[in-house]
Amino acid sequence: MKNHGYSLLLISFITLMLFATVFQGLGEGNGENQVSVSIHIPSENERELFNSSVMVTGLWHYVNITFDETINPNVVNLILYKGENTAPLQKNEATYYSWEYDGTEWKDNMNYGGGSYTYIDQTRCKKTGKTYAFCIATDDFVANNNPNAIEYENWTMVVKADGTEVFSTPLVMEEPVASVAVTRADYNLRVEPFTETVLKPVQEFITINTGNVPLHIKVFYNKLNESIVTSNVNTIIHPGETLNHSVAVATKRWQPGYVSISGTLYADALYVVPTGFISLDTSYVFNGVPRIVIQVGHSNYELEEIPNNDVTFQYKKNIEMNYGETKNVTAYLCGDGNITISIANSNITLLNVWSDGVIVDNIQNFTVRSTNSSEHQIVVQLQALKPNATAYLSYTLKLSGSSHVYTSTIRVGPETPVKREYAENTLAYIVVGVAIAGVVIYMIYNQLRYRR
Amino acid sequence: MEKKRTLSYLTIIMLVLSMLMVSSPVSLHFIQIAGAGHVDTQYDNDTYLNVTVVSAPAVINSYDIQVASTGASRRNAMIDVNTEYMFVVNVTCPTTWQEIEYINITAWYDAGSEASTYNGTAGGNLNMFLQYQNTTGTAVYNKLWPDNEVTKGDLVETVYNESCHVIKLEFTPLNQVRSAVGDGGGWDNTTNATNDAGSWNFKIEATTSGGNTTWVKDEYGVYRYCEVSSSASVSASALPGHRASTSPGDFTITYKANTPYKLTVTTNVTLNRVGGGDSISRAYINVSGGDISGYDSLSDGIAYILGSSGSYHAQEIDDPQETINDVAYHCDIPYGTLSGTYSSKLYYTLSLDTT
Repeated sequence: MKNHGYSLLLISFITLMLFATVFQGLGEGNGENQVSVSIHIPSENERELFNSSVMVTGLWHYVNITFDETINPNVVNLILYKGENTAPLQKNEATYYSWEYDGTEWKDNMNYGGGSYTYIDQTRCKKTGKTYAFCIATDDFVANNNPNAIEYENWTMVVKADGTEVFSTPLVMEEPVASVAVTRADYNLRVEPFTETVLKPVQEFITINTGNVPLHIKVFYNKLNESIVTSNVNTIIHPGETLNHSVAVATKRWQPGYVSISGTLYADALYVVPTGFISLDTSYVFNGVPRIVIQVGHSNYELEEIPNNDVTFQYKKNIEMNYGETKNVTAYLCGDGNITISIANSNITLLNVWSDGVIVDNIQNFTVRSTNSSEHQIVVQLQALKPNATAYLSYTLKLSGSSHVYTSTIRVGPETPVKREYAENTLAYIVVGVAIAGVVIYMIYNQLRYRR
Repeated sequence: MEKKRTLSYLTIIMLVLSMLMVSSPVSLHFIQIAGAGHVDTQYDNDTYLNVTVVSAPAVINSYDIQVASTGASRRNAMIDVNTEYMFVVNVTCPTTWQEIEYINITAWYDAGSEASTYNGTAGGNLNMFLQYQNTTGTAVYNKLWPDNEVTKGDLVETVYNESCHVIKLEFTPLNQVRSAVGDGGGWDNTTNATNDAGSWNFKIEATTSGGNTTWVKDEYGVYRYCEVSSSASVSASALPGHRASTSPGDFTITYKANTPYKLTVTTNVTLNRVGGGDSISRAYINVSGGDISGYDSLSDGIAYILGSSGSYHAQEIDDPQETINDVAYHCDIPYGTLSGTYSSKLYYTLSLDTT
């Protein structure tokens, strides 16, 4: 009876061991416990689609295979094949890949590139402890039929240890789409003439990696490259990432005028595996991005660059005046040359004109000796004597045989009616009046009563 | 004597009071008598009293274009493509809201002229027509134009009272809606005016059942947007002395630009052999497809896929994106070239018209 009990215990133990072995064997088939695998493009994070790891065809990837303590292989194989079941019989660059590490060498077993190219970068493969890092790639084989989508194929990844499959997992193989978008890159800035400062607009331009290929971005400017600081450039923009770029421009003591700066944005596809006889890696160049136009001039002034001359004229395009008001209106000339000026007024009274502080006798014809080292001021004193009028102040500039007319529009307000504001103070007047009357009556009463 | 003194005091008092009265602004008009006269009673049954009820127009109290998510105003300011905005219109009717038949919002790219009008130049990327329709008493939001270049959002209606509503019509301009960066002189913020060339003008019209229409107009700008997408690389193979070509359709170039543009391509001056030892000049490379008639050699360093050296490719007035799938590269591999892989960058340059 006692022996029967031991037998029963032994049978139970063996049964349990069998179950454990069977279930452990299933686990080994998927490699859930013994093997872990991560797949990613260098400098990128692992990505999943439909709960499967994603690999972008045509780009280098690290496939990191880590075994637990139960597996100590001499040879490790990494296999990728098209489909979700068994490996295809017809093996080519569009259906099957195999790599191997035999303890000393990292190999591309298929050798599709012959001696010209290969799908393994042996210099980047590395064994660290129980982790085997394969740096591998595939051909860009996924057909592009839909330009609105990143297309993909379903593949399978298998890991073998000493010829035994220890891990398999479905894999999504995507077409490589290098794509970048740029917006908000138009800047209109202003700086006062002959002023050194740093312009820091709030507006930031935006780059977006709309594809699945990491891109290296950089920016150059056609002028003042060393004076412009752009943030978040000379860096990698990752798939799906949006970068905001601030711009800061250090200005110099510029004379009035417009400074136009054209940037060029470069976005280079990274980690592209060279294949074929000629291999061309995509790089995008955006001309005029960003585009910065700096108005060197006074705030709320029209800035005119006189054609074919290095002369600028700044004037107020719209002026508001109250009826009866006297106002000095200043215009600015800058640039080398003798400029003959004529000033005309309409619907408004012109009282005086000063040219750099000197009163002008003949406003129909006076000459300004302008230089490019400073601004020459022309001050016109106006008086608005017509209510509700639209008036005009015209400057005619003659230089190099040509005339240029610039006109300020002046809107004069209505005549202000004299308001009988006392109406609102009626009560106060009555109270004061009554009080004064009371005091006077009281004084008279006292006089009458006590001086008798 | 005493009487005289009293009289003097009274005189002073009167003088003071009279001064007060004269200087006082108080007008003592206590009673006004109208000049009414005698009216005889008389009847005339041959005359009629015709009463015409005149339908008054609606009043647009305020309007704006705002970022839908934040309510930030973008009137006389720039907007982005692919971001949702809303027109906000506060309208009061003469009596009840049922009098409102339509609130029409038309917007158009002015092409630098304030004389431009809605659909003066047709195109889904150049015009927009949003409508609040109230003819049946139930408000409906219609996007009458365009089809695909702008997406319609929600209608949000706030009832202030029986005659005053605030209407919000949401919309999203897509990638190729025409950019408009203004005239370079900054935005004129004057209300109800279109005075910045190179902008989108818009007009809001409120029409009542009585046929009265009131309107306002104003402007906004659109930032330039560009996007290019293609395969990360292209490759081709052939023996020395033969032509290595990619096939038309091997890859697709997808691009989006909301201003005229050029798309050119080039490579490095030479394609260098991976591992060294040899190179191929880009003069051996020809490009076909796009706007290219036949082949365009890279011997001069550039091939124009879209546009030309002297002109930009016109901006697409319809569709939110464009594709080219017939571009191909051909390399006539010189005799004697070492076997291997010859690699270079392939530079696609998108140049936007900034005028």
